[in-house]
This record gives sequence, structure tokens and C-alpha cells, in this order.
Amino acid sequence: MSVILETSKLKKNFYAKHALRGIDLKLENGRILGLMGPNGSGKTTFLKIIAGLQKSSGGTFTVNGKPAGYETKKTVSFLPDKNTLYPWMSSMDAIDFYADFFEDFDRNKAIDMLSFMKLEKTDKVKAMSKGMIEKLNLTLAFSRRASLFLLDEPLGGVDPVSRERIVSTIIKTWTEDSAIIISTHLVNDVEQIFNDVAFIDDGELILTGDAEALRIERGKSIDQLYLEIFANR
Amino acid sequence: MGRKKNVLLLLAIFGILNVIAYAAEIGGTITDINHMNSMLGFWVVNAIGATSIAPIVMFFLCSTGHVSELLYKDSSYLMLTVPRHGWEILGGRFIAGLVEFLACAIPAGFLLSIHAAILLPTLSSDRVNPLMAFARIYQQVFIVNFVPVAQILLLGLCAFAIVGTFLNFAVVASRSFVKNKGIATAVSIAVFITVINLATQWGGKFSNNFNWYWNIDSFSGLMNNGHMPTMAIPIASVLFFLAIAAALFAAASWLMEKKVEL
Repeated sequence: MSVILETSKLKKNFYAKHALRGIDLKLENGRILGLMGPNGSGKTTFLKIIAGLQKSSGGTFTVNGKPAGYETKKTVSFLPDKNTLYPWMSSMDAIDFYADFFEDFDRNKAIDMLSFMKLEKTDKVKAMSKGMIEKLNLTLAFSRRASLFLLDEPLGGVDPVSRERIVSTIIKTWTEDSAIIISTHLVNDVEQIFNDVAFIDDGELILTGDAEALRIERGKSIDQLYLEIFANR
Repeated sequence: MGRKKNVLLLLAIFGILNVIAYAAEIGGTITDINHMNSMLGFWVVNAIGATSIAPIVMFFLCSTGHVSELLYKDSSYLMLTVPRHGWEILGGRFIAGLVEFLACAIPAGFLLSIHAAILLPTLSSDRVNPLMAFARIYQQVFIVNFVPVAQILLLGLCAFAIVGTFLNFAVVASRSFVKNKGIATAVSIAVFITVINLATQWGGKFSNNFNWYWNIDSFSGLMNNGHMPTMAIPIASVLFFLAIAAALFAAASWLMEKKVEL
């Protein structure tokens, strides 16, 4: 087993607000980590720092042993929680964009996944529903042969059928060589695919561990554990 | 594609305005240009004004490659996650901006040359028709005065690069350290004006002290073979600006890679 992501005392401050208060996390290859917490707990900030969209205020992280920067962007695939594609783009335009900028992008896989997601190549982003845009972004993110996939709320605002399709795609795309971090509130829909879980609140990790071990130890599903931990905080 | 559509729309507007103006000018030259109908004169003034001013505005907008959009819109997620160095992103946007500017400026220049071809013969003592005047304009620009035109275009390209780099540095630096967009914009403009003023003053003093000037040969006149005075460009100012622009490009690239965040 090799370590894909390792963070050490990762901090992020926005003026007086401490968004992350020293996160220590290790994620090995072949593992899917569920990152869970209430709104404003620091999940998205954590993912953005790893993706290179924000800079940490303290601490360090490495991806495949490489420190944050140009090299880590080559191996990290980020699915943000909002649409970032230009409205004038069609699905094919978006695929062409990714193919131009990411060496590890698999164009054929992207086209196959587009059909699986029931998206047309010529559909424009501005004419797509939220669910369709989410599926397109997922297609783009998962068509890369990245070491680390970061999915920020991939199921948010999406209908149950599309959610099922997205979860299937995540399972299909999973490989032993890579690791996936999924941040989500819809724990019930995805907990069956988590190998590891991490609960975060107010910028701190309050519980981490193997998902199955936690289920056995606590006698509860991860969803129930989530409710138990955050209901009273 | 969005920007391509904007350019095509702008060119379509130029085209329509100028075609109306040409009709007015031709009608005016047939009757009496000095007594052109005020309605037609309105179209002529508007067409020439819009076609002249738009490229100047585009010069400033396009020289930055629209980097401020990159730093403030959601689509910036895309550009900030791609594995590209800061200089690649800024340099690429600059080239795209140059292409966008030329896509507007060249047609605008062509449209203005048609106005000149229609109007100049009526204002000169030469008895040439508009077609001959049109041919003579391009002969003067591309053959007779090729060297000074090329020198001026080179200076224009330097100015485009310098303005773009200065503005980009101001935008990237303020985005790196100031999170509020309104304040960042105000700081960008203040930094830009301050640096331009200082560079102009120091460059001008240096050129004066050492008499470093680049003389651009006089132009032959378009109609009457008159001569325009030699243009003396202070070399020290140009070199000073280029050196500062190079340093600011390097600084902006570093900030883009290491400091800019959403």
C-alpha cells in the first residue's frame, strides 16, 4: 500500500475565522474516504487546498510524496460543488478543453461515459439542468487517470436516478492505483462505498477510521453515526 | 466561443454603421459635402467615432487577456486547477487578447480607410476618384512608408505588451492580497497609474540626459507629398517600460502560481 495523500497540521484562516485547525490525514491507494460534516465545517476548504484552488495558512500536504504545486495538479482531479464550465461550452467542447490541459485525460473514456450518463455531445452547458451539469463534470473528472480524485458534494441537488448513476460511475472508475475523497451530506446514498470515513467539524477532525470497523465497533451505520455525532454539536 | 461571438457582434455593428455612413458620404460628395444633411452627418460622425474609439477601448481590455475575469468568476476554478505555470496562463491569455484586439482593429482600420478614400479627394486639390484614393492610401502605408509604419506597429505592440503586463500585475497583486473585489480594482488602478507615471518620468529624464532618441522617418503625405515632422521616441523610456514589464510579468506569474486563490 502506498500513501497517496498525506496532510500534516494543515491550517487555513480567513482573517479571524479558523476554517481548518491543523488537519492530519493519511489516505492510501485503493481507498475511498468519506469526508463528512455540517455546513461550514471545512470540508470544501480542505478539498480546495488539496486541489490547488486555495493556499494553506500553515501545515503541509503531499500527493504521491510531492508537495503542493504544479506537480500535484497533474495528479489530482477535482470535482467542485458548483458548475465551473463556461456556459457556451458543449459537452464535446468541455472534453476538448480537458484533453488539451490534462495529459492523463482519456478522451475515449469520456465519450463512453457521456453516453452512460445519457448526455449528448452537442448539448450546451447553459441549456443543461443541474443534474446534467453534475454528470458532465463527473464525466470530466473521472476520465482522468489521476492518483487522487476529490469530489465535493457530487450528489447535491441531483435526482435519485442520477445519484444512482453517479455512484455507479464512482464504483466503476475506482482503481487500486488511486484514491477518492467524497464530501457529502447524503451519507445514506454513498456510505456503502466508503472504505474510510472522516468526520470534521469547525475545522477539526473529530473522528476518523475504517468505515466497516466503525460500523462494527459502534453498532451503527455511518449515517446513524453522523446523526449521533452532529445532532448535539 | 463567448468572446468570439462578442467580436463578431462588434464587427457587425461596425459594418452596419459604416455602410450607412458611406452612403451618406457618397451622397454628400455628389451634392456638396459642406452642406451634408445633418441626419446623414450624424451617421458619418457616429460611424467614424465608434470605429475609431472602439479599438482604443479594446486595446486596454484585450491587453490584459481578460485576466481579471479569470480571477473573479467561477470558471476560474478550471484555470487554477490545470497543471500550468503562471507564465503559461498569463502568456497564453496575452496572446489570445492580442488576437482578439487585431480581430477588431484590422477591420476597423480597413473601414476607416474607406472613409478616408471617400472624403479625402473632396478635401484635396488632387482630382482622384475614391477608388484611386483607396489604392493610394494603401500604397502610402504598405509601400512608400513601409519602414516607419513597421516601426510604429512595433512600438504599438510594445505598448500593448507593456499596458497589459502592468494592468495584469496590478490585478493579480491586488487579488493575491486583497479579497474584496471593489477594493482590489481600486488598488489595481492606483498601482497601474503610479507605476506608469513613475516609469514615464524616469525614462524621459534618462533619455533627455543621454539624448537617446529613436527617430522615426518622416511620412510622405498621402495626397500632396507633404512631410510630417520626424517622430523622436525616447529610447530610455521604451527600454525602461519593457524592463519593468518583464519584471512585472515574472512577478505576476509567480503570484498567479503561489498566491492567488479563490
